[in-house]
Amino acid sequence: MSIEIVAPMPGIVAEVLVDIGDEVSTDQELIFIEAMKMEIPICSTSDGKVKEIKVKEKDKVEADQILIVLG
Amino acid sequence: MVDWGEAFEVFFVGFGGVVTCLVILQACIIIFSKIASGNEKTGENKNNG
Amino acid sequence: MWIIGITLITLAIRKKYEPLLLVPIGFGMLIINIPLSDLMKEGHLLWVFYHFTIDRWDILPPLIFIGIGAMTDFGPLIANPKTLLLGAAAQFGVYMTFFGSLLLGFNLHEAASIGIIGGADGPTTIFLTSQLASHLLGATVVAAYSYMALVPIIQPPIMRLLTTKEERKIRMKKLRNVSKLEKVGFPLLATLIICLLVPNAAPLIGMLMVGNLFRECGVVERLSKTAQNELINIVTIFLGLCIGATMPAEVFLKPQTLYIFFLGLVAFCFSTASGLLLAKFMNLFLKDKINPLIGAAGVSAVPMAARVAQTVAMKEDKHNFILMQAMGPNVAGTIGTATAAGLFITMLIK
Repeated sequence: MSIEIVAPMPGIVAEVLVDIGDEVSTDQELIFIEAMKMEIPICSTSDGKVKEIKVKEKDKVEADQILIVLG
Repeated sequence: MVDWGEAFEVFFVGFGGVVTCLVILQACIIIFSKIASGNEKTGENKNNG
Repeated sequence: MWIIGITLITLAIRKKYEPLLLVPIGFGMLIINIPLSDLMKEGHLLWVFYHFTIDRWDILPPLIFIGIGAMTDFGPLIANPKTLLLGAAAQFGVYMTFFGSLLLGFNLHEAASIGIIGGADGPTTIFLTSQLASHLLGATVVAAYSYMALVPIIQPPIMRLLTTKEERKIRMKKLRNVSKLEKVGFPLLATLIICLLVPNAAPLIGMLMVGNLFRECGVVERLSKTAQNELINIVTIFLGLCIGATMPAEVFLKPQTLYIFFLGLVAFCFSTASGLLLAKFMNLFLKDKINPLIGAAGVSAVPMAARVAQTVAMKEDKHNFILMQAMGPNVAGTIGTATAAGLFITMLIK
């Protein structure tokens, strides 16, 4: 089963904190998205392993765009 | 001395005015959004055709 | 006064407190208090700027509003028009402070200028004060900008005090997409309605909305870019210097300046509280509950107050994102404060 982490709002990816293969736990910060000049941490919604990272730093993202897939 | 009558007048007209203004604006935005979303659909058809 | 001026500059540089304004204001304060430099004597450099662009015709604040309009996305407001009410509620602090100032012995004109600090809107404060009580200009503007910079410190305790943990955890529905037609229509609609109802708000609202029209209409990108960057930057330089220059020691170093700072703080607290409370009140009737924290964003201070709402919400629930929703009352606050200023002018200048 894979879990998708999506962007909660439009913005720019400021920093990606994890790599493919990393073990992550619930509430761990995965990515920083910059919106309204504020860096907002996007946290994991469950435990798992990072399967795919769909964005890189400086990317523009839309609301609901998939950022990371956990497997 | 402060003219309290005038002060209260400023308060009621002022605060009431701000609220009224924004309530009317709110109503108009809702109506406008409804009309706009209606138009959008027909507009899209035209563009496609 | 040199010390105050240098303190402002230092705060701006080290703590990044509204540096775009406090640096020129601090410098203006410094240079005007150098004996024999005479920049504010009739016919001299800063006097000419001040006299013609603020004191006499009051054109700089509306020019800033063109830039703000071009920088503001009213989308969150259009998607959730209810938030206009929160922006209106936050103006309550303005009027509470108006009464407070009267009690402390200020006259009606002065009280209105002090109250408007609670709107947390710099240009509007300048616009109103220079028309009603220009001798207080320096103090009210410095108070407004200092407290705006302190929003992240002033607001959270009030927000935690007036909301429960559950309320802060309320997640809000994602905002719907707003069509281009709506975005272009909004500035026209808002101008028509507000300027018809409150003609004296027209200089501020009109300029705000023309800036926004530049931004949204999509065919005058050059004008929009200029308004967002060059225009607002140039105006900010002159505005800051002139405001600083209105503070020679004999005007600024008076007990009433302390009162103004105290009342400004009261205004901020009341505005925050009334926004929160109205949001809680609205929740009694709404099916889709709103997170009361976004009510606190009704004090304009765009986008700082919205960021504070997001930060406080995230402390309770890491997966709660209300930043965009909070932008609704936030930009509504700007409109509300400008309207309130227009109404003060209507009522008090006869």
